Amino acid sequence: MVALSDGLRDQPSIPALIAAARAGDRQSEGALVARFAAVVRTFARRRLKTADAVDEFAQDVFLRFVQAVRTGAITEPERTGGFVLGICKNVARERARLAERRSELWQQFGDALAPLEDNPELAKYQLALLEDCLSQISQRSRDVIKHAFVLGESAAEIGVRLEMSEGNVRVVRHRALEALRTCMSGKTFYEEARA
Amino acid sequence: MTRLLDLDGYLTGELAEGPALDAFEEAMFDAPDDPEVAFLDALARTGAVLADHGTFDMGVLRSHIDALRARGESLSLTEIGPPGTYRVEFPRDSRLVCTSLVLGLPDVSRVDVEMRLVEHGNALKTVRDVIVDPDGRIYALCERPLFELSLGSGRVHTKVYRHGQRELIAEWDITGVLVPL
Repeated sequence: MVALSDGLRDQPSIPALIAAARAGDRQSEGALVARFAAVVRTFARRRLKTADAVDEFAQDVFLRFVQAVRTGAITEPERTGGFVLGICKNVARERARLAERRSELWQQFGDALAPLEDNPELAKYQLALLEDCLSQISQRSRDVIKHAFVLGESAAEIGVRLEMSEGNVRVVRHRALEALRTCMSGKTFYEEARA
Repeated sequence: MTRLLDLDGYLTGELAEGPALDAFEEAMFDAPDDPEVAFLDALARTGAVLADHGTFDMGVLRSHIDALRARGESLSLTEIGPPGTYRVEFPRDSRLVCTSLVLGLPDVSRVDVEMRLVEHGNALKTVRDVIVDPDGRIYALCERPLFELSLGSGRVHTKVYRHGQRELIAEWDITGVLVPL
């Protein structure tokens, strides 16, 4: 049977990794992040509900940790665990402060944010109109619009995905955008036909 | 449409960091009622809903319908047979409406669909690049709001063409009504 600890055999000590990382060895830096990943996530998991929030917390911690390693802020390498825990506590405190502040503000002014909620009737109509307008352009145009404006991909990324040149992606994107803009200024095909 | 293309460049990151970007953002916040900004915001937000449901594309695979059901989406599937004339009752209560048409041509993976509203001056709408499932059916998935607008148009004569060609391969004449309450 393979024990979970087997993967740690023959690994350099943490102070050795800190020293190597401080000297510019990126692999050692990565090894340090990997070494602390489980405990940081465990720390976060105790406080946060979603997997996304846990991952985001861990990222926040490690960004600061790597910064500290590179700037030589870890003065006692043998106490690196405590240093990482300190970052975790700071990040948690900051998030808690932010959440507390948010909660206070929400109680005081939350009602004023109602306009951020979609008007249900308008949202329903926009859904119908966009679906109708999308049905009137080509699949390629739909793909480009979706990847650019829904998934936030660059022209270069879309070009690779759809096997198009970057320039061509831009041309298709501009034309499709203009076609959708014109279409969405009017009514759906069915309403226009019945008018 | 220059303003729209400027915003396109901003959103896609093609307007690089620098004084031009700063000026662009200042101007954008000075004029928050910009209809082009509203359009792009609606496109992104509403588009995300459509993309999540699979209604951003025209037609879906059967496996997508099954996946939507498995994750608990409110979806009704109305099976319509092979080409012919039908009067179909559609359920009222689902958020997504899927109409399945039996094309029965396993070699066809995409088609172009032409819909003629018989009772409204034969108004014509062409939907290109519609996906056909390998089971030979077209699964036309639609959000409830657009579906109900289409249903209000009465009888629809639908012609299906081989994708990119004018070869007519199937025809349906469908009058849809909502299931009476």
